[in-house]
Amino acid sequence: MAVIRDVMPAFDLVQPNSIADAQKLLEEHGENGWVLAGGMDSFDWLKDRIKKPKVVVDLSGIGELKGVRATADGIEIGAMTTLTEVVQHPVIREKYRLLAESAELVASPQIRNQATLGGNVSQDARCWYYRAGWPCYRAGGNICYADAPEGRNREHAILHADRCVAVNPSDSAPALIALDAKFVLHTSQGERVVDAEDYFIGPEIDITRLHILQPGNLLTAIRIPSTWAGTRFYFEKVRDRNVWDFPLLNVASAMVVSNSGIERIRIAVNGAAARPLRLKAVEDAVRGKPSSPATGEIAGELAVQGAVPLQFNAYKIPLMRNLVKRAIGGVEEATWIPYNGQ
Amino acid sequence: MVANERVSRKGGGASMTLAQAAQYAIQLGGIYDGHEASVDLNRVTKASLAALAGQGLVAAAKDNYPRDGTTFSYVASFAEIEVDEETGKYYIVDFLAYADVGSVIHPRALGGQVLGRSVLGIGHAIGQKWVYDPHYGAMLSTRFYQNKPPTILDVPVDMQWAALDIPDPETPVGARGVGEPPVGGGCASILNALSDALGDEIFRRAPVNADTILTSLEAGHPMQHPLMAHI
Repeated sequence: MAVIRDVMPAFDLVQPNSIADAQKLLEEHGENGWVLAGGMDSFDWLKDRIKKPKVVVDLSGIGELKGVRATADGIEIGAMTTLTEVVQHPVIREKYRLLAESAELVASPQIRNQATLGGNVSQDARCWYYRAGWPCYRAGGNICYADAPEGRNREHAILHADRCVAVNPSDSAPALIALDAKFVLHTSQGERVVDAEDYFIGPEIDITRLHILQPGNLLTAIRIPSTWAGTRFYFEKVRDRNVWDFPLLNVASAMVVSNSGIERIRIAVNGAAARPLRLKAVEDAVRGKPSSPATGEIAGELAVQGAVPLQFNAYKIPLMRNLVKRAIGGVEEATWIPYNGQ
Repeated sequence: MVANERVSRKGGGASMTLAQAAQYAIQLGGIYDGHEASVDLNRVTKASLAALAGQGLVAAAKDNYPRDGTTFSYVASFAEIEVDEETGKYYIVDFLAYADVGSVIHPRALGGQVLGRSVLGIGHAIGQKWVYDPHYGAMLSTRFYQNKPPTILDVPVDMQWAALDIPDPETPVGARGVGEPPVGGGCASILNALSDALGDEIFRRAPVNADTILTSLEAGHPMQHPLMAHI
């Protein structure tokens, strides 16, 4: 029987115009509800007829979810703010450039015009077995095809794998962790604010989702404190293509460096595990040391401790080691600059 | 003369519509409506003609220019790459394709063909792949973000092409076809540049991505079998 892959399954489309209404609708529909932000992740699932939600809650009409606002201590970015707006926002470019850089490396210009920051951090895994609808652990099944003896797992996890070996594909997530961002959630119990790194979870906590949002929950905003504004940032993404590609691995760091060495630092990588990893051990090891290639070497080695390669992803170990080394050691990233028409 | 959907005698006079011409051809039959074929036509052309016979004004002919052997087009491709040894990522910084395709009839069309097809070949080298799960026999790289055809940002901003423009005596107008030759050149020039930069043994395969380069550099010897390039 032919599998129909070009028509979305029927669903009820609801388009609330306030956070309160969206929250109520999601609460009402629970497991049957599907949150639609920019649609860049959702439409793949829907058009492939793999996910078949009964009700799609479209957030695009909620004005209060959009835009960048100043707060008493930093900025608040609405979850429905597009990546293009994030990239172009003057305050983000000036003070939180790490986020602008990471967002600018997401996918392609067309996708960034439509994709949202909330969507980018909440997107699902891109494991090609899971995405093709294979009944794996993450899909509620009882097997991991990527980690099978002949599984193809070039883009999969080297750290913290637990049955599932898929990775988190977000570029903005590690930048937000490095900036010590706070994620604002709306739940039936009211507003809840969590640290960026606590928004993401691995398969040991819930194998079917990459973040803590439960049915009925909504990510409404991301707050960035001024703690790391204007500090020394490093972001590098390694991908197969120079545009329109998910990361093989990325690294984001924010550092305050003085004559006596690295005073403060936050560093995170993504593409290595099911959640973006904040490298606390690396931060502790390099604090007080000079930002030098030698410190970078130590940091790189420490970062990949405990990494377990699968058959085809061993390259991610030296890749992660070297990206962390560059971020800490102050080595310039590749000089290649995409032609941007200017 | 054929103009304004009518057929007329040269210099004016009698004319008829295309439909009337077709009707007249069918009345005349023989060589006019395809029932009679020139003896030197190819077997397949004759079969096609027979299938169309009697349906209108049908004509088929074959050129009888002298020809000694067959003709081929050639392209010599040159690529310069920069490899980041810490990430395995490489960038194509310069590219030139030199074509030997007989007379150049339409330079812009030829340039588009040569560079366009070179990009296809570059795509084969830098990552366009077809990944199967060998256990289940299932295609895995079913999406363009997984199969990864090259983008405009994957090729040098200023790609160059040139042609020798030497007429081919064996073809009616001195030109030869071009289309596929730049594909092989585009692919091989990238792989040869990689071999030149990093060593022969590792890159006798396509595609080559950061993973292949980095694991091989790390181990000091090839880590992926050439026949398992599509992973």
